[in-house]
Amino acid sequence: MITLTDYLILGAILFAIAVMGLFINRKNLVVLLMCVELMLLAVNINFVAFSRYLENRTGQIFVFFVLTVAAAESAIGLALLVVVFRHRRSINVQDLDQLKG
Amino acid sequence: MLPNYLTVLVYLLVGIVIGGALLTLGFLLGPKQPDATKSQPYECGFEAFQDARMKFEVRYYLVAILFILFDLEMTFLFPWAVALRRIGWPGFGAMMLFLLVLVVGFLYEWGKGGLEWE
Amino acid sequence: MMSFSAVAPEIWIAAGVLAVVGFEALRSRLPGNFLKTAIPATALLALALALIEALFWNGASQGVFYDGSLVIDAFSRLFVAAACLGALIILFYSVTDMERHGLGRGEYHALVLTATLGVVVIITAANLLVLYLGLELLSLSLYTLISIDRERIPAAEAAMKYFFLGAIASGVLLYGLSLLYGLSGTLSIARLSVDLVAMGPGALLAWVAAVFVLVALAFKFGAAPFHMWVPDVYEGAPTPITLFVATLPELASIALFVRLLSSGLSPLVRDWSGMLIGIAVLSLLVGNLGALLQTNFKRLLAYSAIGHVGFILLGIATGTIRGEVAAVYYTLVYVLMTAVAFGLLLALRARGREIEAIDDLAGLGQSQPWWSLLMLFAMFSLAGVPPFVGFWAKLAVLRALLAAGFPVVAVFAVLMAVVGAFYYLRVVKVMYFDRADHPLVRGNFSLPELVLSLNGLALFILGLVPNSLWGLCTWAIRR
Repeated sequence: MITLTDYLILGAILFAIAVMGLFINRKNLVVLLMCVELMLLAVNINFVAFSRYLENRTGQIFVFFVLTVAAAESAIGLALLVVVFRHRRSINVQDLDQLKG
Repeated sequence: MLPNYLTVLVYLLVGIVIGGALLTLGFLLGPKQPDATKSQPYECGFEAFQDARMKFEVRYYLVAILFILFDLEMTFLFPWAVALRRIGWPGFGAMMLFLLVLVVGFLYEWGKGGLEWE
Repeated sequence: MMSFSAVAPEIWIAAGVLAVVGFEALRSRLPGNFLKTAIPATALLALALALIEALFWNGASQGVFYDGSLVIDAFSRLFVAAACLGALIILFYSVTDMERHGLGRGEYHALVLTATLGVVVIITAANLLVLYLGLELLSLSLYTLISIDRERIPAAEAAMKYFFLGAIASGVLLYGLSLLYGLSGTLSIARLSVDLVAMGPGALLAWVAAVFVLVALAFKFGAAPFHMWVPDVYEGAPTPITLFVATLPELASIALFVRLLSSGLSPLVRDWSGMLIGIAVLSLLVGNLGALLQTNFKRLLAYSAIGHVGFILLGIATGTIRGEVAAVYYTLVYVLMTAVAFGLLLALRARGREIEAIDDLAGLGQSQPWWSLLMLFAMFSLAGVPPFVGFWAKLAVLRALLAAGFPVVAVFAVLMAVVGAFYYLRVVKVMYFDRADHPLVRGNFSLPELVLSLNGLALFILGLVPNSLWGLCTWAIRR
């Protein structure tokens, strides 16, 4: 029997993988974008699992909105990627070195 | 139990008929002038046999961006269509407003030439 | 029939966005001169109408509207009005400059409007979903605004960094929100706090959720140790955009803290108060020490922003009503001061360029006495020199800290304020005592000059009557 805890653990693991990917990956901006997506999808698993467990539909509605926002977010990410690529001819993370925070 | 699936069967059949009819019509009525590039598996300019990890033309990203946006907004239409009877005219109005916003965005993209390849 | 009066400001702004985007879509078919006036006029009109609605709110009573999505209370009223007014002022200051860069097209206006819409939605949110949507609307608009000048390489890079850090913050916030939803089964912020009280202290999941939410909010506010994006964005973005990034999102951030932390998570105050103090102290340290090393004026203001965020967070961290009022007061004052500093940066140019380095301001005292006086006001106010309003804001936070029993933190904050005074005064010294090797000229600015002067004078006048604004903030926060 799959319980709520299992889903939450799955969500947490996916979330952790996404965050690790964001911090470890030093090569490719597209992979970073994918990690961001994965992060949001992990949260979606949480929402759906809670929604089912609580028998309350608002969680699933939240998922719809998160999906759309994620789409808009990756669209903007891709657009920025194209702008950076046009200047740099590269989408390597380490090439972003003009500014130092 | 089984009669419940009758609608699904009808739906399936109608889908097959419409899809099949369109394909046949296209096959019968469409002009056929095949050349070497056209008959390749991917007509959009990819080589069929090469390393899968290749670089994409940057312009594909623009297509991807526009596709993602308009594709996912449609998810809102499904729950809306199912619940339309219950939410009535206010729900209808709300969705029309939402579509209006999308249409304005679409017009913008069109007016800016975002739909042209060159 | 449903009433729309509670969302009237949002409706006006959204209508403005649609109109501007529509104009821009038809650009090839409409005369250029018409667009040149129609687009800014539409944007200004939409914001002005929203401001009027927010001031009067059509007599709509206070309360929660639309199935618990929106709340109209004193805080919403004050902050929605402040956000609309702020956006109006920013458009006034920046339009000429954006035109000069060839960027004053519909996209700029539409994005400023959507960002403002996001701020307004955050401020009035009574529900976690609405809060999240407002936050994303604001963030996505900001990413695009920063990179609006596609030829400016640092801007694209800054936007990219801001985008990824912001996306992480959103994801982290969302994870926290999902846990809160699971704990209470509701998205309503008001019911959330009730349910958390019922759960009692020590719930591990609630604590985890609070940590996630807190980290994400600190990210969005630009507090240390999540401040990496602030200097890059301030320096990389075109100055009119920096003006925007430095002001309006601060209003949204304080609204997030007030709505989510001080109301929604109020039962967990013991859990988050200590962490917030830590973040605030670190921000004070990083901001003020970092600013000492800067030669670029925009970067200086960026580090100073981190320091000020530290002060604001100290107010929230006390967990008392008084501290909250102080934080809100500080934020409003900070937005006023920053608007003056960046407005002046836009109004002046050295060697025919924008002012970048602090040294570019040399000789301003002789060549432009009025503008240097206003810059002096802004710097003194940011430093917290007594008659100016910035001093009262710092004092309010310190008093709240002492009242809540954090004397050591208060002493540390004073120490950091003294360090901060040093670099603000350095700017004043450069302006008045350094010799200029180049003439400083005023950009061609007409009506905005008047607004900018009023804005600068407000720092002084509000400093003479500190209680007026303080009274407003108290009214906004009391429950």
